[in-house]
Amino acid sequence: MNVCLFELKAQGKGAVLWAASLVGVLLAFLLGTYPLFQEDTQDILRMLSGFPPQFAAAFGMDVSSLFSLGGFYGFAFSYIGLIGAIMAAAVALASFSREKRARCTDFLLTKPIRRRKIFAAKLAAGAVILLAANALYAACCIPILRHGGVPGDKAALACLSLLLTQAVFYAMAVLFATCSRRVRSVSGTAIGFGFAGFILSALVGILKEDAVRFAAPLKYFDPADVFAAGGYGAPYAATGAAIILACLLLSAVLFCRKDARAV
Amino acid sequence: MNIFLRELKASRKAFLFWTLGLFFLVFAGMTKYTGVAMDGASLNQLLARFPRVVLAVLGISGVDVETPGGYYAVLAFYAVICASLYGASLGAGAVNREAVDKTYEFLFTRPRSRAAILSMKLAAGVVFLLLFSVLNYLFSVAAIAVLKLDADIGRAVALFSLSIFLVGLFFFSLSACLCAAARRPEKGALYGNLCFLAAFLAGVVCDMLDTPGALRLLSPLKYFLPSDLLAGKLDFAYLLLILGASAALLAAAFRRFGKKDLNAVS
Repeated sequence: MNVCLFELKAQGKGAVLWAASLVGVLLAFLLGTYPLFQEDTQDILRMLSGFPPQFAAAFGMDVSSLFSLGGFYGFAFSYIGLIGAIMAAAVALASFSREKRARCTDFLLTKPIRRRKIFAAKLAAGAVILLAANALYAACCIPILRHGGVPGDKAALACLSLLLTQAVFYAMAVLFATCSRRVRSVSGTAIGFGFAGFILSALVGILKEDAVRFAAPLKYFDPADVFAAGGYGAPYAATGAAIILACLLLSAVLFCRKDARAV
Repeated sequence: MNIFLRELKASRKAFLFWTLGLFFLVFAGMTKYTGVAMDGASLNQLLARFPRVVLAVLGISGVDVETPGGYYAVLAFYAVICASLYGASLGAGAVNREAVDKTYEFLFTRPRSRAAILSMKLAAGVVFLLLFSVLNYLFSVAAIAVLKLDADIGRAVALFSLSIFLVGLFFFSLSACLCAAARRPEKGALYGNLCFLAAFLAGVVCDMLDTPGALRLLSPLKYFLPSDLLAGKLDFAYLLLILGASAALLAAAFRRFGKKDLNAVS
């Protein structure tokens, strides 16, 4: 319990700022940009209706659904997901590399508390932070989507994308922090995680190859799928879930068995 | 010189890692260029009438992706992101490394001035950044040759690589300056990374506006536009701006670092 509270206290201020910036970016996209976008798309839809249907087909999907609020949220999520991924990685790296950075692993591990309890406490602290941030995010996101005519279940699933994507990055960063000898800069590593995911997602778009998507964690729980098909793409969601489980289990085992390095 | 060599040796693993990422990006990206797609001309005419925010949502940004140059420009943008992040981490590493590793007393008690030590460290960082952009050029040219793409964009690729170096250099200097100014090492690196994130988001907003205006000044990622580079031009005003800003930031880094309180044991 003490470990958990210590982590929450150490990360509280940063977590509030992260959550606020997630909501800020969401509002900037959905309330700031979407109304402008909608005006523009009306003209384009009128323009497109004068062309043969092959033109609309060239965009790869139904234009009117792409121009809807749901389609726009799918676009915005590539950036919201990026920020969420950086946040999740930062939370994981900060808590799981804290003692390595401060060179006091021995201080923590010699306390009369089992290693698996320390691991669980740190994990729980991160989970609390991510869940709280997502609760705030959903409280802003779902009403806007509902207001824009998106049915409730789809709005909820689209919001849940953020939490699930963050869980993937959280788990990967926990494993990284547990394995690595030292983390020189939490923010540098976290931003690296986020942009690696972002560039891999971009490659999925460029290469138009489904297999690449399995390597792009930001696309495992893609809200665009929710609006297009009503749910996440099953193989990708399964991959995401498997990665979360595998990373967390492996880190738990490593955390409990690894040699603590002498300073 | 010893410090310089020591720095080169200490950071070569990270360099290898970044280079592998760049290699993957360039080669994997270029494999998929298929040349002319379905009746491109008329589609592009239609797209030209779309507002920029719609194009941004559709994932099309100002360049014609059906030409080899336009396709390369899309990949080059991701290479710029890599170079900026790498630059920021090199800049932070040059200033912070001894503080993070708690080896301040070991290095700064040697008979060299702080400025001399810092300049060696920064020089090593610039060398890595320079190698990174040269490798970007070589990888791109090699990818075009190996994949037998019918593309005559050697000059554009060289300009893209130069712009990658310049933008990386800016974030390198910014991050070095912030780390020298911050009292705690981790804070400096954090501010540098946040600046990059903010610049990236400003660039996204730039892409959505028809006339970005002064906003473009905030995003070094958008200083050198792909359309200019493909035409064989490097915007001279922005070139001066980015070099001047980098020089000023580095000078500030030296000044702050000279007066910094080096408390290794904290």
